[in-house]
Amino acid sequence: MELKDLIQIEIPKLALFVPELIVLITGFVLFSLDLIYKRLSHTLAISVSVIGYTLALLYLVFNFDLRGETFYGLYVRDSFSSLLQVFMILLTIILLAFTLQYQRFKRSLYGEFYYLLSFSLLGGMVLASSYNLLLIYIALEAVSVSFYILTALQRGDFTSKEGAFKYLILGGLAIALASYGAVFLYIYAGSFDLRHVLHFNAPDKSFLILGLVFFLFGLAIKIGVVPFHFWLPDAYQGAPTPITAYMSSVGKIAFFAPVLRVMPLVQESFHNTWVLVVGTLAVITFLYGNFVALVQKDVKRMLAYSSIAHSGYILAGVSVANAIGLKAVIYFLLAYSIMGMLGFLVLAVLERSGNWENKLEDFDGLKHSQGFMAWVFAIALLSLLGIPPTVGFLIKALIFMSLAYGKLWWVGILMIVGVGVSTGYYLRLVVLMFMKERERRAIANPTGFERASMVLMAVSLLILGILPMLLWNYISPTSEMLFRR
Amino acid sequence: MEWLIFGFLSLWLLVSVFGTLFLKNPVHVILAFLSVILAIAGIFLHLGAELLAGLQLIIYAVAIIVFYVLVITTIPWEKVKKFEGIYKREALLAVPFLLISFLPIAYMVLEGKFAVSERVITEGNIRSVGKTLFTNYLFPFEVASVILLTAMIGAILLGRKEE
Repeated sequence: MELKDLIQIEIPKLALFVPELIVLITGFVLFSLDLIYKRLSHTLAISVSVIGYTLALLYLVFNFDLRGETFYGLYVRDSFSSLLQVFMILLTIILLAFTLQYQRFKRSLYGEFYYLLSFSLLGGMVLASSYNLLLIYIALEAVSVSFYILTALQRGDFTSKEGAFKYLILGGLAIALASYGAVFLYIYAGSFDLRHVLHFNAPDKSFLILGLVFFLFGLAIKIGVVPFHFWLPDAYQGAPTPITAYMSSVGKIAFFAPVLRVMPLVQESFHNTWVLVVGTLAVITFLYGNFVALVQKDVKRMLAYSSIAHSGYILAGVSVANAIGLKAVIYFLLAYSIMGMLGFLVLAVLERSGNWENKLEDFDGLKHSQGFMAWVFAIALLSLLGIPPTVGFLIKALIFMSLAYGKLWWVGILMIVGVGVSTGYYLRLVVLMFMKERERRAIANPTGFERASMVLMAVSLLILGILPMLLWNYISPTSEMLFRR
Repeated sequence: MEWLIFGFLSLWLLVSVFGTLFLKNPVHVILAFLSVILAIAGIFLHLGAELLAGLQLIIYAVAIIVFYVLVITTIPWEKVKKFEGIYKREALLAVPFLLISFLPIAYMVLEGKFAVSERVITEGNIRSVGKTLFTNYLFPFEVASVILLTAMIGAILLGRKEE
């Protein structure tokens, strides 16, 4: 008699989710270290985290071809989940180079930070690898709960609390909406599996549409799509800046993953509804984000609105529910996660200078005081804007091409308007940094690790723009695989 | 016999509901509320939904009541506005809303066909829920435990005094 018959449950294939397991164990090791040592050495915590994440990353890279499902089809390992997870882990490792100095300066050093980070990473990784509505719901909650706490981590600061509170309330609403949608989808098809639900062919599609709309609205709140974006600027501004960087990169990848999994499953029968709803949301989002960013005086808040605008561009690609659209969207998502993170991380370093308030005037003549930071920030901004040698140009061109291919001209033309508007605020910052004269000031000096990470990210923005094939060779088969399902 | 039990439980329920509305001492209100929950759990048991009855007891009677009691103990009662009798104008305004929400429910109860699904397993709902939870949905269950841990860490972190 086999063991399986004896205990009557499926034995999970552990090989498929070793990376998650490693991240979870890292979290628990950090948790125990925090319990054992009364004064946790932060260098130790950071080294343990980096070692754990690197192990998970190496496992993923060396077993990139791992495929399969386990836990009764709830957990799916395919090249899509592996690709997103590689980026999430990489960005988290880079983030750890910046946190210690920032938290020391802001006097908000907490040992809890490290394992909260690993739990949210775990949630994001699970979110990237499931088709099951129930698991998506739980993983969304796992990511969000950690984000609420991380946002409120600057305990003495009022804006931090305010942002976390708004995020908590609207995030709770989002979860409620998403679960409501999941119930409707269950009524429609009698299953929680998205592949089954969307391929199910009942004559009456009203429950399917209702369920999808609620489910996507729930995700839209989490992503920060415009009619539902009210928490985002406050939470991004209030959160400690490295956490903002984390939310705008890893968080964005995680929250977009279920949307990208739905995209290839859009059927002929509700294709037009999909294009109309998602396309309209996309247009409102990037126009609103760019116009409001134009009038911001606070650079951190401006980058938050720029993050909203970029969600809009991604949604524009999502509205084209075909393989080309999906390729463009994955490339955009991964590239944006690097440049969005770089922008916020530069602010995280600059905030350590005295009298720095992230106002536009603070950036006057930054080149003369701290040339290195000015150059890195300029590369990030030009990439966010989309100037040719950087990856920003390439991804916007890809989205535009996929829109043209899908014959969505109205979205494409409005997107050009949006990008045109965004020139106003990105270039203004670059001009302020390089062309304005101002006496030299004492600006915080980045540490060696920070310097290396920023150089790495800036160079990768250029390389991905010049040699797109490096990433494209992984994205292209992934997207076609998702469409063959 | 069945009607007797049902009648007793519903009478108990109604009395305790009016207790929560009209008692003046907050601790008495909480006790009446506890009694409401026990009565509802009894009705669930009487209908054969033992899982719902159990959850009702665990979640409401234990977790939420304790939470309310904690809140009551932290409020300085001498500063709180005292009960001033029933607000007549508000009560009058509430009547039409009550009727409007009551009508569809009454319609559904009188005219609706309460279909019994054949797909539902009738071997006892605690057993079937437990079986599904620990086989098909084992993975979400495990991830949920991480969420609870995270929430607890967050509450301790944000709630403790600054050193």
